[in-house]
Amino acid sequence: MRWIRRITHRFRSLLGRTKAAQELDEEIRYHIELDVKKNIDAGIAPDEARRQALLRFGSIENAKEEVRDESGVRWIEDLVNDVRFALRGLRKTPVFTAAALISLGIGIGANTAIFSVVNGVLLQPLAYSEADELFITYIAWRDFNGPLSDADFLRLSEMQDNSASFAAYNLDDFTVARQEGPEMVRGAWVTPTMFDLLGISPLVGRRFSATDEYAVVVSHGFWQTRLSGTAEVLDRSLEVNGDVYSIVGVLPPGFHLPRITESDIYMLRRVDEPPRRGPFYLRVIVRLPEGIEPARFHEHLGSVATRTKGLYPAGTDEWSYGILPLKELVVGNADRTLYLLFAAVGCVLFIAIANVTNLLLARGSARRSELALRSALGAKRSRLVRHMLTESAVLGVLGATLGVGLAWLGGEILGVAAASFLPRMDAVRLDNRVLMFALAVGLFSGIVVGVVPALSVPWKRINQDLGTTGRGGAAGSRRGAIRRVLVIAEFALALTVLLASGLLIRSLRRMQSADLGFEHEGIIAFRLSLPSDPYESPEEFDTFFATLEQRLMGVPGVSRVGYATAVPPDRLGMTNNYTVEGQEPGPRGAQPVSPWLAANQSYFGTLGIPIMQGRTFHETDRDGEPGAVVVNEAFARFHFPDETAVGKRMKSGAWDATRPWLTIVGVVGDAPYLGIRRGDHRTVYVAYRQSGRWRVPWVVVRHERDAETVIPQIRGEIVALDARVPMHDISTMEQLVRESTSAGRSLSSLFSVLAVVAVVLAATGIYGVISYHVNMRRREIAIRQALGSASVAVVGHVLKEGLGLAVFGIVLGSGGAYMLARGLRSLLYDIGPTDVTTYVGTALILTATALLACMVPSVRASRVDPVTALREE
Amino acid sequence: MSYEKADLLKGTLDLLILKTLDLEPMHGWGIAERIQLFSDDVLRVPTGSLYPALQRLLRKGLIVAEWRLTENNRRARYYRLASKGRKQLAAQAESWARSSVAVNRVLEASL
Repeated sequence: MRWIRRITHRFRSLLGRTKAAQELDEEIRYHIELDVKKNIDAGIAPDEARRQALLRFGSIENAKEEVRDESGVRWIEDLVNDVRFALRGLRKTPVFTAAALISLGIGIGANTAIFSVVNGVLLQPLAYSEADELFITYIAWRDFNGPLSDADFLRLSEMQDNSASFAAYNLDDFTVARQEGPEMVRGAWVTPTMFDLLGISPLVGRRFSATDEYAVVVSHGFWQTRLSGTAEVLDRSLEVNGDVYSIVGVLPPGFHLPRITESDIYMLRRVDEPPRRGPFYLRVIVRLPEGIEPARFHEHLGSVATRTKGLYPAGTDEWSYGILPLKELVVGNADRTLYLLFAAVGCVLFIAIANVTNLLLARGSARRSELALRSALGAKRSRLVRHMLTESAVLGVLGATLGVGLAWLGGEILGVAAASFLPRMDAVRLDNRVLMFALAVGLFSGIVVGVVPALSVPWKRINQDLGTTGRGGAAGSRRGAIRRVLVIAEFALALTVLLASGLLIRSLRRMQSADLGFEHEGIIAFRLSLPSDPYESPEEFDTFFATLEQRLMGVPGVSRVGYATAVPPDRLGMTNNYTVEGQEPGPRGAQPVSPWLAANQSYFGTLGIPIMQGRTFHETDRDGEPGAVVVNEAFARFHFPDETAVGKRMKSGAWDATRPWLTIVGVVGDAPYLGIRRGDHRTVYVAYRQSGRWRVPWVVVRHERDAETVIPQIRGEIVALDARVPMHDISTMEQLVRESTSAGRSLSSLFSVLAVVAVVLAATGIYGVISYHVNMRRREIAIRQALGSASVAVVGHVLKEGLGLAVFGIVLGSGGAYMLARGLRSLLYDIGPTDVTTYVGTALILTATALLACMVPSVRASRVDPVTALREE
Repeated sequence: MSYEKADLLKGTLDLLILKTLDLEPMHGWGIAERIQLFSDDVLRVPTGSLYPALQRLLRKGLIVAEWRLTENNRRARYYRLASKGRKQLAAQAESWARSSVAVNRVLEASL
């Protein structure tokens, strides 16, 4: 400690403090000397003269202190002293300190962790330069927002306003030829200026240039794992989809396109004048630099739209271009989930604060004699309050430090868990803002925790307490009331978190045991990427699949094979708008939209989707034949509630006299394609052979043997058929179903952890308060027992008090719990926020916890030996 | 002593110090003796409380201090009224006078 003293001394002399102190010393000494001299001259003996002089002066230390008080910088000194004193005090009571720090650490840590997620996901700008200038452009048509086409992109790029710049991308899967065989790689096609637009500079090499033709830029990860990882990779070539591309650059690590977490290669695409208006698949990003006014830009967009409509007069013209800030697109609905999490950890924090407040109250009664002494020595009330608050603030800051440590430790796990339901988790880290937040929460908690005990001290009568132990009395009962209120509050908050977690768990359970409408055991699913040469030709495609089906059926254990453009529960490729004959929406009405997939005839049988009416696809449903369509029950119920859907007609896309009719030939059972939680949607299936041949189909295989043995055999068959066709996204249907509930699992796990923490903290709180209560009332209890009251009655009495508090808290907390539950509504499956069973269940759990927590002190109460208790003073 | 009385005392003490220094610059002990003379030993405060008051007046800029040698060649800190202090004194004296007139009037009226 000596070095601290040396430093503060140096600091003070720097401020001239020591010199001032010395001078004051001299001044006072001179004053007293003069007084002594005066007394001696008046004839008093020297000793008596000195004594009288000192008496007349009063307390020298007091005078010095008050002079220091008046010099204004006192508060810093006071603060430093208080902090030192506080730390010493905390060290002397390790049990109290540990309990308080653990409570605060957990509460602050949880809040810090969630805030770091809020910071990374919601607050931080996207990882592109000047990211708030970036917007995504879309086509707004009725209530449908969709991507753009080549035609749109070209017209937008030609826009008069030169300061806005556009670039486009679309995701794709690419077949990269490697020594070991073809590999399917996720990537994107990008227009030449994309990296300029986003402000990304390559780590190695360069961006696309005006003269590049067949060029590709690779991601950092791809460079490290699949290529050499050295600069020699430049100008080497990569065979993609059968063509040779030259590698011109490597991107820095951590880069990705908006909402795309995996993208290994970026292929250069130059957009040429298209032969027609569609298809619509491009995601177009626009950068609007500072100077541009949004209103003017919208005008420009309007005129471009007019131009496009003029160039392609066929089709509707009731659409327009719209822009949305890129961050909003990326973040989506994540904010709602985060606020709910934040509310839950907030509850946990307040429970922790209530606990520590109770601890301080208990400790406070023991310190009242110390406070009384200080007050008698001249300390003002404000000074003492400042002292107590500094102490609790120190506790808060220490708790915050522990909390940051806990948040850091748990950060990894939290990151992995949250990634399943939140975007941008890679931007989450413990940066300065998060640390500031932790400090602020620590100080806030510290002050709140200290205010209540500080206010509960009976300042007016404090001097009377010098020498007493401070039990009982009016102030004691005031503190007792505060303690009880705090316990009630803790239980109310604990109920809130417990209810939220309970609802999520039950929702998850229901999701996991729901009848999904298709088989999920014994089915393997994978995707194939057929290269355009030769599979662009429908005959080649059909031949391939016919042969594949035959060969796969020949693999031992395989019983059925089917393919489609999507698989349940959530691997949907496309939605489409359509119109049912006789239910055309008027000129202003919106068209219905539903999941839309192309399937072959054996798809339904392989997945076990039952046929309810009519038939599924036949051989006869192929190009040139009348369009056949199969719908699911939800579709039939929606559009034809009172009659059969079979035989009805509809059209795909916009209502257009020239488009072909599709006839509904059958109705199948419901199966989810948008995730289990979204429930059943109207779904339309078209025959694969009548809908163009999408070359990246999902293949499903029903098997009786182990997946591990069957998959390599399937792979062998495919390679034997055509070695250039990679098999990817291999998994079993069980895995897919499990993955689709992973978000629900993670979220309910998080809430459950919080609920357990909340309940444990609340239980600790009530245990502490009831224990203290029992201790305080030992004499009363002893008297009761001496008068013949049975132990059981004593136990019962104490339990009743404790339970009363808990139950009151539970009842009071129901309102708040309901509010949080309501917020969860969109995350719940098949269960509502007012589910009575869950309420009752959680109330029972909490009550039982309270019972358990009060057991120990109440049993101890009954064991109080009346004789010793009564003898105590 | 309760807090209200302390504040009243502070104000009175400050005024007395200023008044004392109006006559001539003085060191701490001298001011204490002079105040005693003025107030006829009425103010029974420990003389030590003079020093915080002096510090307060220093900080407010109403008085200034400098170290000087006394007659017996000792170092002492002498306090002097600043112009701001002189103005303050005049203002305070006036308000005192006014309130004492009012008090007198009340007393006369009730006698």
